[in-house]
Amino acid sequence: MLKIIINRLLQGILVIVSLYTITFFMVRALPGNAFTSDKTMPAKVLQQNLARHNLDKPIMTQYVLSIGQLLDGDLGESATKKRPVIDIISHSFPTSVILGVSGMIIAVLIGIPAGIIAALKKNSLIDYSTMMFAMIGLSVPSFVIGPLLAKFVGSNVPFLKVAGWGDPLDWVLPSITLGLATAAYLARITRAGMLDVLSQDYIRTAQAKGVKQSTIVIKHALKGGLIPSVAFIGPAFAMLVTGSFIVETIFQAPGMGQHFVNATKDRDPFLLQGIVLLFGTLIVVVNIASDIALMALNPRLRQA
Amino acid sequence: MEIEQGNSLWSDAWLRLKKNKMAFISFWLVITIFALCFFLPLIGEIGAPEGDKERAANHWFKDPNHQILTETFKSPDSTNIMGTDQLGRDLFSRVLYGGQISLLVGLLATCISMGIGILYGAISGYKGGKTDSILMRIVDVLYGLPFLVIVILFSVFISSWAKEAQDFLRDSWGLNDSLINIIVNILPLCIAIGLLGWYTMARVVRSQVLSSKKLEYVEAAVSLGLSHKKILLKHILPNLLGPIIVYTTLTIPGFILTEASLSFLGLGVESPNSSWGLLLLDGAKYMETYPRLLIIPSLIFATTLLSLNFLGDGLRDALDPKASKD
Repeated sequence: MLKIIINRLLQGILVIVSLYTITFFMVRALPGNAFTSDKTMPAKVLQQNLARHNLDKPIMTQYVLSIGQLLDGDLGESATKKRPVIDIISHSFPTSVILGVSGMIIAVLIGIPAGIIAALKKNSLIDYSTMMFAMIGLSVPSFVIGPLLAKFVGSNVPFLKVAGWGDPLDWVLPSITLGLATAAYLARITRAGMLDVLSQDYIRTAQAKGVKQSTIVIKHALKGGLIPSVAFIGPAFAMLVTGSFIVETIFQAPGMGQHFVNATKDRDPFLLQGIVLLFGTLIVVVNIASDIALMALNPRLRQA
Repeated sequence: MEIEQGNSLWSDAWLRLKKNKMAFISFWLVITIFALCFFLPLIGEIGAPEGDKERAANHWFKDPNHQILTETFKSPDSTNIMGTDQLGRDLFSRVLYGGQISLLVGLLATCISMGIGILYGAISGYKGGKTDSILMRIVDVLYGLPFLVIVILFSVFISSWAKEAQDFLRDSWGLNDSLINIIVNILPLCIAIGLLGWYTMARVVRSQVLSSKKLEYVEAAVSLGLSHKKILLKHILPNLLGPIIVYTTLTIPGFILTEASLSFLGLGVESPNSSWGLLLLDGAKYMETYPRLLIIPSLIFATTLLSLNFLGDGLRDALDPKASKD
């Protein structure tokens, strides 16, 4: 088991390193630089600015220097915002975390019960309508659901706002918008997992022995049936992270998504690297955590 | 004596698909939407007299970029069946024209990613052993990269370089502006999405090749002395057409969604080109006063994605009844 975890850890590090490297070289290989938009900048100032961010050195030197900086815990300075990247991230990260966590809670609270109920009532009206809703949730993207929710719910319910990010009530609509697609995936996966387990021999044995249906479901079926759903938490988290870019745009929430989009447009190397590094690390950590949770649930996975 | 006619895989699948009402309706919906987006504009143009102005005034399919600034936010009527947008452009034409681009990006990106995925997966599964495990570890690492983030980086990268080359394309190759627009803006999107979206396909094909490699017909082909290339391309891959078609169908809506997300963030299709994502972005801006501009494109977009997804699901049940429904 330890071997598997170490393996995953190494793989995760490889993911982070390649993500960082791709970002690093790509942003520097773009035509122009972070200061091109500022046409009035005299050549000497531009040179100073480039030198300040090490952007005038050969690219491999820059790479080595930036790795050295990273190991010192320094993410560099944003070229367009003239502030340390760590500063920008620490201001916007909490918003993204709140959004991501509440989106995940909504996804789990809606998706898993819906999937379980659909599986228990297989081929009934409840099953069909749940799966129909799940399909709609998959097909209607957040940038359609979000504005529609804002239009029809946000402007009619007095304590909800159409956009903005002040008090916790403002989190409601963005989190629902963000969580719905993930909820839909979770419902489908949970239903499939539960159906798989419910058709197995040990469940039939329990039924034959006259165990109550509720006991069978809670004590015997859930543990196995939810394994695929737990396995999906890693990918779901990645979905939420990237989904949050769009939701932040719709509801004007001051999270990291907008910084990422702007850093890409402005070719702001250090800001982009910092944000991508953080996203990559988060996704890898969540993936490893969900792998460990899976191994706890399913003894068969513990042997390599 | 009557000979019993056997059913082929395809006629069987067609019968099963017909029985699945949702999938069958979706099948016709998909065809209708494609036909509307790609053929209706052509018919509109055939009947139209020369010159965009005439066409904009008289025909129900209009130049999607023709602005009539005195007729902004017009409600639907007989000349503009869906009304006009913030610049007085005909919404119906813009929805169809945007649909062309969105569907095209979805299809082209899917072609690219299917090509890479099938080849990669087939080689990995067929070679097996060390090659297989190295190739699959690479896929594992790539799988860990956040898709939208990396697609954004790639498409910005490709289109920036394409923009650098646009003068060259115009002067040396003599391309016209609308073609250059597509090369600079649309093509990079397709390439970026296609280059990064093949992992699932590779995994699916690999596992299928791995299991069919052991079947008798492959053994027969090997003992007949056929080359590996021939066995793989002529014997194994044709037998995997079912799962390949299913995953292709399920990939298209995902890629259309990716394109729309990028356009919504302002990193995808740029005007004067149009796409459903761009229409939705515009619609969201005016939803307070003119909800029509958001609701009409939303409905069409959602219907397309929904029917493609239902069709993919239906095809999976029809072509590969063993596959689990996840």
